[in-house]
Amino acid sequence: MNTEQNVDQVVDESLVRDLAKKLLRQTAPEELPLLRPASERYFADPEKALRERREQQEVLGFGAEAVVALLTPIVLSVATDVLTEFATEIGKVAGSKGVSAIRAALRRLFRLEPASDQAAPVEIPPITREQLIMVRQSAFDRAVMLDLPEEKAGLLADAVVGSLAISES
Amino acid sequence: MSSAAPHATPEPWPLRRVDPFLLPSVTTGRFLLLITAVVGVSLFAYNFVYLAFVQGKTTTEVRDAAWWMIGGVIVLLVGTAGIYLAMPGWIIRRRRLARLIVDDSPELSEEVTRLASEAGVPRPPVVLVDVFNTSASALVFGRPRRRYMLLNGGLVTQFSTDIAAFRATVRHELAHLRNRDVDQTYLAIAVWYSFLLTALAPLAVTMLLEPGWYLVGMSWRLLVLAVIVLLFRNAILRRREYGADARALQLDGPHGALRRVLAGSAASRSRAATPRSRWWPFRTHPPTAMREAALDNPKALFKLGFWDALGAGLVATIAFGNATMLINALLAEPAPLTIRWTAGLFFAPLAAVGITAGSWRTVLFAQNTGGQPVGTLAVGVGLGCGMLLGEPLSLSASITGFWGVGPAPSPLLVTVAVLALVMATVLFAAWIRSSALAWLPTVSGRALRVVVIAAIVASAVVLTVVLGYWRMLHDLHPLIPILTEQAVTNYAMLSASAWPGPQWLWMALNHELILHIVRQDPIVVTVVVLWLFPVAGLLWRRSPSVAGRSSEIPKRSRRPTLIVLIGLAGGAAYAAALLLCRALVHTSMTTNDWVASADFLQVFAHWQIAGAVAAQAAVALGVALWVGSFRVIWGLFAAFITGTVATAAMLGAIVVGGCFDAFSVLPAPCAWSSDGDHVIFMLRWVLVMGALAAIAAGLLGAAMAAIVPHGSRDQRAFGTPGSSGSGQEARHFQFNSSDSQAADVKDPKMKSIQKATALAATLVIFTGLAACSGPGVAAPTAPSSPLVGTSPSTLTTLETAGATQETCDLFRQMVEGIETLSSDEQEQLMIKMTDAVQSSGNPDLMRAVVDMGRGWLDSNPEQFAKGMRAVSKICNVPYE
Repeated sequence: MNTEQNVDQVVDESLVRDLAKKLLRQTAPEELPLLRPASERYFADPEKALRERREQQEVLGFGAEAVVALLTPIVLSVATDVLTEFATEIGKVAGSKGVSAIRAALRRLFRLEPASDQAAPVEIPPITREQLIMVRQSAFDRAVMLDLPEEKAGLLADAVVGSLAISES
Repeated sequence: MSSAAPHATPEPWPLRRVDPFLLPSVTTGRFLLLITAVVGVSLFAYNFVYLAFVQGKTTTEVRDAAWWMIGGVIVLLVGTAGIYLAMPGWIIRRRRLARLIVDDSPELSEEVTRLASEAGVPRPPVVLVDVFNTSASALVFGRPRRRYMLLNGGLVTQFSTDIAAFRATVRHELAHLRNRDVDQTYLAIAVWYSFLLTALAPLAVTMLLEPGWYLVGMSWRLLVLAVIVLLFRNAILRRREYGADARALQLDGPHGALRRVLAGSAASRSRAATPRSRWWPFRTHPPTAMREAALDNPKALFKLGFWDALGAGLVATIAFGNATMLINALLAEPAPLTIRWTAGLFFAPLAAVGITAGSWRTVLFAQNTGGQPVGTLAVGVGLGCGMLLGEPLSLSASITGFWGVGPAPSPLLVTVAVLALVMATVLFAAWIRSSALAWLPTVSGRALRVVVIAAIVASAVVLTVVLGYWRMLHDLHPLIPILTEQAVTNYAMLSASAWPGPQWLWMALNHELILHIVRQDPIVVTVVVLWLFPVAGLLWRRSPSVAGRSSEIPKRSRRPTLIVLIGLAGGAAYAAALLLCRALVHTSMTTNDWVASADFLQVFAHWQIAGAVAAQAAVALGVALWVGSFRVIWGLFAAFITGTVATAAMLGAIVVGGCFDAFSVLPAPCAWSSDGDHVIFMLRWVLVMGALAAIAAGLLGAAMAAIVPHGSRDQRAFGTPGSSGSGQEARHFQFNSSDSQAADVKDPKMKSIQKATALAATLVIFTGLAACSGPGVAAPTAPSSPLVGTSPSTLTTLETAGATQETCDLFRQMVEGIETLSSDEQEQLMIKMTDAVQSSGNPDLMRAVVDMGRGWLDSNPEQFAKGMRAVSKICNVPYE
């Protein structure tokens, strides 16, 4: 599995949503009700979804509302990036095993609930410390690029790594 | 001694003092008025397109334009319905909203359902989310039976982080549903978009394809119209926000987060710093600082001021001309007032809803807070100014000009008319407040709502009459000078045989415009409604639940009985005076004075009416001075009784004269001989003119009572609780003590307003009379009508010209046969000349013929010759 198209097949909406849910539980649990509709919007057009965070006043609205920084679209984006990176790496060692096996490996890597029709996962080598640092930096950079404050970006990156570290142990 | 009660947390202000939802909202009527006005304006657009493209190109009739306009309105309404129904789907698609299902957050779904039930919203709204919207806000929209509540992403997170803030915001939105804001708001939006698409766009295309001199005038008016609609709509929406906050506060309770949400947001803080920025009239929400203040003191929910009334008057009249245009095209030979009153029924009742509900709310607020109801001057002036501005700003004015068809009226006429209209609207506003003061202490609960609806109906009747009559005067103003000249002519003719009193009195009672009013049914209904509705409130038994502020129900006053007796006494005094006059006239009349008899009877009838009106004014003045409250209302009531008795006396005196010769002025049978139409006309004449005089007298009485120091009776009205049975009741009635025109006589400012209003009313009435008196007796000239074709004035001109010619022909016969005609033949010619000259409209000719007749009857050759010479000169018939 070497093609970009196959990576996209591996990192499907269900996988990203499950990882995002796990990350949100740690970083912004109050946004969990938004996850399903947000992921639908995100997967329809990821770039547009990230652009659309906004506020506006409207007829019969409340009219004096506070503005809240929403993490969900960023979490979805970071989860997609991280999963894509890992899917690419796992694909290199997967040999002839299919998309389902790689997806199962990713679920096991991040300790996500197995899918109902899941195949036997690809066996993958343990993740090194350097890899963890790279993953954290990648997640942090992506979050900051999406205008998340550094403090929150750090928390999110730690949550990503924490997920992996837990699965590694 | 009461036992110690546990310390209770004080309820928030609105719960403790006054319920904002006890009375109907003012905004419903305004929304409907706005929609009606937009529909009305569209009539102009469709008619304009019709005139440009259809008429003249095919064989058409007048009614074709009407059907064209009706068809256009149907298109507009269908477009409105389509936009309204499509709007929820459009909002959902445009904002890519997602439905929040129970699995997303069972707790959140359950909480929204619970809050909806708590708010009295029977069917919980479908919850949608705008997931990437970061503001902690919500929005309600949708159709009946399918409401949506949109929660922004920011608000959804508050469900976990700040549940109190979440509840406050959701309660605010549910309050919009409970207050029925959604349909009206989106219908107003839909009708505006539909207007832009189906009326304004065709109009704009027509203007471009058929450019004309009207282009500039129409363009700026369209801009002004758009701004007015926007400002009016946003003013209503801002009021709706106060209503939603008040409802949310009731649900949120004293410990809710509504106040904190309003105060705490960054947006709130920035806006609170500038509560009245330059652009606030264009905002759909009030400044948050004002919303916070309204939570403590919901005065904004009970406020009715100049701008509210100005907007109502403006929107009620801006499309009025278009409605009359449609009715004129639909009805066969409609009467001018019928057209305008019918058109008025489209607009005035809706304006009356806002003004009446607003006025009642201000009174309710004042009663419950122990404050003063705001004065009605600003409201009345605002309404009057709005009604004045509506026509010049209407699209039709871009073609007809400010003053409609015909030349501009004289500055004096404009001044008098404007003052009279503003005075009428000020009195109207004061009357509404008096009615509220009369009724509010008597009813509560469901009965209160019924009474408010009755008040709205009553004020709608009055405002429709005012609006319709004002627009008739506006549209037909070129006729006023002509009708005035005719009245002057009649006055001059009658002055030659009997003294009809001062000219202003003659004009006040006999001007054709006055008589035209008298003949209309709605004006009579209005005269009765003016006193009947508030008096019914004053006579209504005080409800114990309303009088709960007092320890006992106030005893019935004997005042109404005394007022009835005063009214009857006034009528009886008039009857006695009338019989005395008839006896005096009978003894002094010359039996063969036939010329004098014909004119004298008219003058005598005039004096009878004048006497009845004076009797009503005197009774109203006396009652106004005597009663301590509701002076004008009680005065009108007493005057009505006096007028009814006086009319009966007038008609009965004819029978008395038939039975007893000593009271006979004209031979009549000793039996009832007046037909029904005559009786009704006399009754109307006396009651309508008497009511106007009674209002002026009542105002005068109120002003005099304000100037004269109060005696012990009024001081009792200011008593502390217990001193007059009911403390609150007494304090409430102190508003009424200075009656409907102003307010508490204790307040120097209000006292000044009361005096000024009363004096201004008197001045306007007398200025109007003076202005209508015209140029004086010696100045009549042949009327020169600015209208041509089928106008009544043209017919009048033709008739008068024919009568003059007939008079001159008869005179020529008399001159040519002066040597040959017998005395009887000459007398017959004189009679014919006298008959003919009455329709000539030429006072010089009338005076000359009267001189001839007088000289003939009195065997006075000099006077006869003087008349002959004058007629000879006017008719250009040589006579030696």
